[in-house]
Amino acid sequence: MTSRDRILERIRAGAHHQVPRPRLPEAPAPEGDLLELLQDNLTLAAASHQRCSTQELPAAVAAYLQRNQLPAKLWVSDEAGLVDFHHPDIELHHESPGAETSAALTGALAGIAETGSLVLHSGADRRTALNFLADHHLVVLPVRSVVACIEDAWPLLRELPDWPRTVNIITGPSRTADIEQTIQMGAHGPRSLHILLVH
Amino acid sequence: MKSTSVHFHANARAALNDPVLQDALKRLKAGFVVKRREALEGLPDFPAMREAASALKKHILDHLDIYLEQYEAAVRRQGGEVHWAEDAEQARRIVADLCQRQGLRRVLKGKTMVGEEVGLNEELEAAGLEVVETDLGEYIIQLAKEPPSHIIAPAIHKTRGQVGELFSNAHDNDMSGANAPELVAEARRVMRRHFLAGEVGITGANFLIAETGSNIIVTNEGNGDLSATLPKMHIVVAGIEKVVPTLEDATLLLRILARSATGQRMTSYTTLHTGPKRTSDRDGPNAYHVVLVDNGRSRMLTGPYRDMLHCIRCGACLNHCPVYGAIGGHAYGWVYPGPMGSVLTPLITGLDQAASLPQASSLCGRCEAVCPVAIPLPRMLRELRFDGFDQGHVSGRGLLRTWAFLACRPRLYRRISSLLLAAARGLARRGWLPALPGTGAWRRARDLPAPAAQSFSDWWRRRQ
Ligand code: SF4
Repeated sequence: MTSRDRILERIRAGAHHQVPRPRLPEAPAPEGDLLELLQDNLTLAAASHQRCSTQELPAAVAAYLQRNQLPAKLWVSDEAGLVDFHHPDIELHHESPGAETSAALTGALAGIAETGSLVLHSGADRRTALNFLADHHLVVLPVRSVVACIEDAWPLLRELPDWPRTVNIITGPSRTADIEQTIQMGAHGPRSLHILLVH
Repeated sequence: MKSTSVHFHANARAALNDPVLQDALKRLKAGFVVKRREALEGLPDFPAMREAASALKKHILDHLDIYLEQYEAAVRRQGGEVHWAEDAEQARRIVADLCQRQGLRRVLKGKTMVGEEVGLNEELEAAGLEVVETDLGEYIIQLAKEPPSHIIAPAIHKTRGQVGELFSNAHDNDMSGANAPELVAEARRVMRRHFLAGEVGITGANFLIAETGSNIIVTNEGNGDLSATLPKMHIVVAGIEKVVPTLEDATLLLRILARSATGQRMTSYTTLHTGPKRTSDRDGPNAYHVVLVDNGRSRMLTGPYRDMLHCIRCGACLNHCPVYGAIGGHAYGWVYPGPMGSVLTPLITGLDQAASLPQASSLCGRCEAVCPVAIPLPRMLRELRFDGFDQGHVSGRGLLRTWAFLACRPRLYRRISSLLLAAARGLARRGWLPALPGTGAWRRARDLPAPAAQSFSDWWRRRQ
């Protein structure tokens, strides 16, 4: 008998397959405009955001870097919609991020209005490390990708051709309260999270 | 980790007399307690969700074998491997072997309570591996060579000054007198180097999803994600009770977990990892292993402590416990403190090692009231007291036996008690009893009034 068998045997002594599966509570159905709710909840989660058109995107990113006194360098994801991203003043990087990565630009599969979260996933044209190694993480979210609640994100993921290795649901920048319970941003991941809501 | 729960009384006394710890514990209330309350005010459905979560957990435990097998099959389908560990030693060995067989030496650890439970770090270090705790709180206590004192805020007992000292000694930088932002920046700087050099990442799991074969980790710092993404191999260590059927089920638990723990609606990072990186992926580990740890859990399924397996490790019962608030986590002597620890520690390490823990409760019931999965902690603590008594781990047992003997014989009881009361009245000074022989420890914190001039039954008899 293997350890697996012995553990399962002990479990079977106490698992009688009788307690029915309860009905889960209804997923919350937020009232009002989802985009507005998302924006409010992004702010609550300490993420900043702005709205812009696809044409305005490069200028908006350049202005963000300048406003935050960041080097004019950007680590960009190669996913559809960003692969052609270009701005004359910004030096673009497509290689793995490292210690010097000051800002990264990625897309997102969805934005969750209920919690102010973004859903990102791994794939052949993107790097999960971008979401965590940059000091500033800029995320492009088409306004049509806003969903009401967490439950709405699961079908979108199930529809992908392959289930991704990594799914990141990101709600605000990295933070820690491990020193005297005071909240500090930028523990190991990004200090700032900025969402560009594109219409 | 080795338990020192047998020394609970001495530990607790030391904790009460530790001014630094007492200062740190004062911050608990303003931090966790207030934030949780505010978060739940924004969730009017909380009572219904709590009930549903509890019913869901009951269903899962009653089908645990089925869901674990489903989960295992799903992990395999995604190219991962599942290992089963019956006890702490086997869990440690599996993890150490996985690292050694591939010749991987530099280990990044995300926060894992079950890792603490099975004593992972000691084993890995003994095997010659270099282990770095990457969660800031865990890193601090790793430098201090201490166990965690809270399940979600492991270094809650440390002050800024102490952290500065620890960093100064461990890094090439003088950090004494640094403020919190400077300390966080320093940890970030040092940890970056480790992240980029790590070869194995070990994380825990808040949930295992049977449907997809994913593990979910819920964190705020992002260290768990870096540990799971950058190295060549990702090892997940999780208790067998962590499995849930679907992502929708996990969502219900996610909604109550962060609110109960830190008062957030969602923590910064809720991450699903499923198998190793796909062939065409740009990053991620080449190998993905899950170690399912039993270590006493399957035994808990039969018997009165089954509901303890509902626990989602939110920490709310610690934060609201008057005993935890007075003595902090270390006094409990093992990795799980507070009310949940007072139930889990005796069940995992043995009641003979931790018989005092179930006694360390006023049974006020706040823990059960705040528990997001409605675990009847006070009932279990009482049950463990009975077990402790039956197994002879309770001091004063002879006294209780004598009392029980007399209480069953009312005439004898009255005769003896009237003799004792007369003697006590004789000893009384100004309405209070002086210290009586043999009651020293009990009397230290209590004053005993002198008995009344006559007992109730005497008074009653005379009235008739
Ligand atoms: S027993 Fe309940 S309150 Fe305590 S940590 Fe577990 S889930 Fe949270």
